[in-house]
Amino acid sequence: MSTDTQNAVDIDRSRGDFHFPERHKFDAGYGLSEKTVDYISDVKNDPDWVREFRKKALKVFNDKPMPTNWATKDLESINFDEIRYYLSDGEAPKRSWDDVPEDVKRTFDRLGIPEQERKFLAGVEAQYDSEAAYSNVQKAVSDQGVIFSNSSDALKNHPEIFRPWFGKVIPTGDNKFSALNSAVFSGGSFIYVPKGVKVKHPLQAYFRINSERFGQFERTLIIVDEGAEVMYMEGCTAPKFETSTLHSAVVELVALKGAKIQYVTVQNWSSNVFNLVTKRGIAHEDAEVRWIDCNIGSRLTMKYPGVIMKGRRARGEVISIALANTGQHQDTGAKMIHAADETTSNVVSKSISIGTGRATYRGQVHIPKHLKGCKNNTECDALLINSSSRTDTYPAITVRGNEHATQHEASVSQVSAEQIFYMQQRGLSEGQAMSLSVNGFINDLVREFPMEYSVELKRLIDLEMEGSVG
Amino acid sequence: MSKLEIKNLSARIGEREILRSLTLDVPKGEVHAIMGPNGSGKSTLAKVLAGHEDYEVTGGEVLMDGENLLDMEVDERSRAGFFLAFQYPIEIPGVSNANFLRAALQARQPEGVELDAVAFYHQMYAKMDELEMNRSFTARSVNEGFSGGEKKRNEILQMMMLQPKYSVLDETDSGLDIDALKVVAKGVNVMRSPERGILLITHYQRLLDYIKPDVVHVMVEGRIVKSGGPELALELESKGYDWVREELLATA
Amino acid sequence: MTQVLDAPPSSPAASTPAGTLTTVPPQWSHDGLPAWFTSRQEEAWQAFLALSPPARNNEAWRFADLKKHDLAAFEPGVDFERADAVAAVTRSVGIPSPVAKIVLGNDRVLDSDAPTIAGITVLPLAEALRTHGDLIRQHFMARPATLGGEKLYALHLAALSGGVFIHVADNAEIARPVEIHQWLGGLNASAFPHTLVIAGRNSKVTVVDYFQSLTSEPGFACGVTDLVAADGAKITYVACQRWSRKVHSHHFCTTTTGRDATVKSIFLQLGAASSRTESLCLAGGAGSRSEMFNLAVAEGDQEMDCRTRQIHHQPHTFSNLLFKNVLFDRARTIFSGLILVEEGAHFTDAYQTCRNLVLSPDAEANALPGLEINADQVKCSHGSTSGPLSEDEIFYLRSRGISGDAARQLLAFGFCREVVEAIDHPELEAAMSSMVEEKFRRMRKR
Repeated sequence: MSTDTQNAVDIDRSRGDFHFPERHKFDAGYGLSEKTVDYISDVKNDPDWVREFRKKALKVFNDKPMPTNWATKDLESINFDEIRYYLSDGEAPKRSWDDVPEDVKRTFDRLGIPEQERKFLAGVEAQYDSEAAYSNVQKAVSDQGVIFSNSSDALKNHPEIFRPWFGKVIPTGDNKFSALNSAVFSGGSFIYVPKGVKVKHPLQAYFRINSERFGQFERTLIIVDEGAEVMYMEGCTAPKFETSTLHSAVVELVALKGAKIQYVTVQNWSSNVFNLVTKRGIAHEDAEVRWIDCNIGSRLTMKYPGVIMKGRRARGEVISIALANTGQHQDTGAKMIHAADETTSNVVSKSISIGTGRATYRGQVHIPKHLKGCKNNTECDALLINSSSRTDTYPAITVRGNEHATQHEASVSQVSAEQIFYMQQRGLSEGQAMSLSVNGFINDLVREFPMEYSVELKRLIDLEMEGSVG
Repeated sequence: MSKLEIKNLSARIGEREILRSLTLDVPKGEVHAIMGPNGSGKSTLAKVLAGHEDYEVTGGEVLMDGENLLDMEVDERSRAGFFLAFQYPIEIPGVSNANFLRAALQARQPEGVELDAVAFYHQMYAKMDELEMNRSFTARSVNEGFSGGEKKRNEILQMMMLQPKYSVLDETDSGLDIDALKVVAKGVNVMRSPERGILLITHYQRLLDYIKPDVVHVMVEGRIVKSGGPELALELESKGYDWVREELLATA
Repeated sequence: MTQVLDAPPSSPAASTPAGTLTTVPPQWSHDGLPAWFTSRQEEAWQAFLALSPPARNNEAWRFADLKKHDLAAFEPGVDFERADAVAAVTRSVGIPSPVAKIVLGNDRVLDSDAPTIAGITVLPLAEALRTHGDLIRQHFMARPATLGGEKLYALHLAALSGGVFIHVADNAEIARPVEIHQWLGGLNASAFPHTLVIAGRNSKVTVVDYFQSLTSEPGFACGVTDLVAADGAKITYVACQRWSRKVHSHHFCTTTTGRDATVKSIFLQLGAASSRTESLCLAGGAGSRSEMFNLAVAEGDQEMDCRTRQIHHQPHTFSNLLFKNVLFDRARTIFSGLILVEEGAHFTDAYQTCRNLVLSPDAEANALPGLEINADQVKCSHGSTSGPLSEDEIFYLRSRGISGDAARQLLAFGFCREVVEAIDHPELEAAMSSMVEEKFRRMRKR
């Protein structure tokens, strides 16, 4: 990839001209201790049980080893003492649009990011002017009894709804990073959709950015009651300019009987970020949980969305696209835990490795004994663009009993020189030919994303492809 | 000026010399055929003209309406009006025929001008009807899982859509049954025009029963050794290529 | 036929005082053996003592029942009584007129029928070490174990006293297979079968290893097969594992291919309480083909654990793997395989398929297929399926008058055929097929 494009998509923070002074009203300082946790609890005015929850989690985090027995050693480069665990801007940072480098503006242009969002994304406006949009959405959904709020408010105001499920889908000790999140979480969305309510428009994290910025340690809990439906979207295709290097979110979904949740993520991290996320949903009888996930950027992303199919005929699905460019490692996958009869799961994962980028798929499919009629289908395909690109696939499939069917297929392919020649003979430039091939590779998955995302996604992938040929 | 001029063209792959100072003119409005035994370099000529990077041009030049073809990139040659119908069309998984053609036509539009999608489909469907192609074909990936005949028809469809100035058809008749051959020949005949030069590369006379060439060239060991009218093709068919070789030896 | 039944014990191991495998060092015979060999054995014993046993959190042992890998109960094998030796030799029946045949009981040669044709040498390893020491040194356990069984690999080397050496001269094509019958006998006895096949340039050979128990007593077997094919050579190796149902078995198989060489290994896993194989193929020379096949038919509470690695470190190499498991009762199977295409190994074609036929509600099939691709212009894929027999197929057979049970047997046996047919040697296929059929038949009678 050409240096220009790299810089356009990934802000080079070492360049002096893109430096913003940071002022925060609340700052927990560097490093992690019981004091840090108390500070966060004080600032957020946590109920006692939440404070206790955080402290227990901190202990678990400290006790747990890094999962380097199976994961990349790169995790060891995280220095937990050099991280600030809580920042909250009481006042908006004052930055001028003129301060934003030209190539960043160009990237926004080419991605077709709306004016207002650009300013927010470039850090010019911490207060993304969506107040009106947010209150409209708020009003529309709250009329239906939907609660759409941030985590601290939800735990304070609606403990009877959120507390029973909070930390239940993903227990604190699930892994080192879920423990970390449990200790220091802030930000994220809490949503409750009452029985039978089908939320028409997708709910977006965007809409409540103003009340609390995307946290490094956001915590999201979505509970969809019997027969209700919701689609939630987080992230956006624009590069996120982050000063913090560690992001560790926990997302828990609960789909009660017959409920349906679709959780759509598109993330484009700058390449200094460790993005270590735990996402899991529980699907009760006849319920469905779908994760639709696109990971671009970051230094290392580790993310394996899971579904526990707890009720009969529950369905789980993970659709995922990962794009690993030079210096990036996308370590993604899916966990499908079948825990009731006639549950079905589907995993379709496609990865593209460009330059020295590395894409890894890890999957777990578990079908225990004494269940009947469970099915899993897993497909993972990798496309390598350059000779130094790499990809790995490590699924794990356990089937107990003779009443189930699983199927796993993986392939690795390459855009061949002859394909490019053929397309060039028809008048396409090498870059156009490559882009057409790559889009062809992931087209069927891009279609699963909501319309507005899929268009941006295609543009973004084209942008990432630039300079990767020739 | 209005011709594809190949002058003393030499090319090799690795250390192997394949084209040896080949000279050939294809004027606009004419259909020429190149015949020759296996290994005479016919397909190499096609790939060298298209700009395949496996081949190294070691001498000579190629002018298309006076423009130096060899100076251009593969895609530039295409946009300048050079078309190659491949002997073995490549499969491109995931890319639909319609999208592929659109992209190729869009690449020919001036910067900032969007292709008229409605007109595009209208035109494509009309050409497909001429080639007796099923509509469902537009949504299928380029050449993927196509039969030999379908692939060749697809090549002709692309030619009809891109309207090149000069077309080289490399062994387009291979792998075709007689019905498919007639359809493909019909497509090529439709493309005959005073504004276009066509060069057919073939091993057999069969194709020439349906597409009457103006001139037939015989290629042996990397160069054109004999040219003549359509009757030359018949003569080759009955006597075989040894006859040309012997004649060559006699005159050498 | 050379009768060696009356020969005195050839190894001092025979007089080893009773003790468990893990505490008493093997008594090595240094008599005439090359120094490099004995010192490697001594080092291996130290390594065995130093290495820690498999642990729960070790990815290489994921899903394995570690209780099945406790060695404490086992003892070094002792020589067969004469009657047992006669029984073993009598029961060592393979296919008619093999080119050579060796029968071993607890690692001691009981019978040896040396080849009479030029171009092939088949010798007990101890003897070959004296005559072909330098050649053996180049290839003998040349690769460290890397798939989890490091400690057991060290134990094998330390305790090795038997074994067979096969060498095929350049350009020699050996039409008839070499047969090796390895027997294990005695309460808690252990054996360390070892087969080293070195095929010279453009040579061709087929080797069959039979692993069987004399009685149904508990025992332990830890074997090594090394297959080395020089440029243009072709080795076909068939291992038929029919240890008694109380034997714990561990086997390492490493194949190395030169330019344009082909190595095909076919493992049939029918016996043992637990059987773990660690198979490594090194696709070396350009144009080489490495093929790995495995068929496990598991019943009762048998555990069949296969760990594989296909390593491509040169361009233009091919490997293919097909592992099939049929699971009855409470059987467990584990397949964990990795295709590793190293940097620079462009134009690699590598395929990996695991198919599990699960025929009981209490059986458990685990699959951990894997790909690591670090090169360009590669074609790689893996596929894994687990499931029961197709109801449609059963229905179809029944509609033709076949009973449900018979239909299931027929289909399950059909599932196994693909691996057996890979042997590509009609007589051997028939022999292996009948072993599989016999296991199915025995189960039907229960």
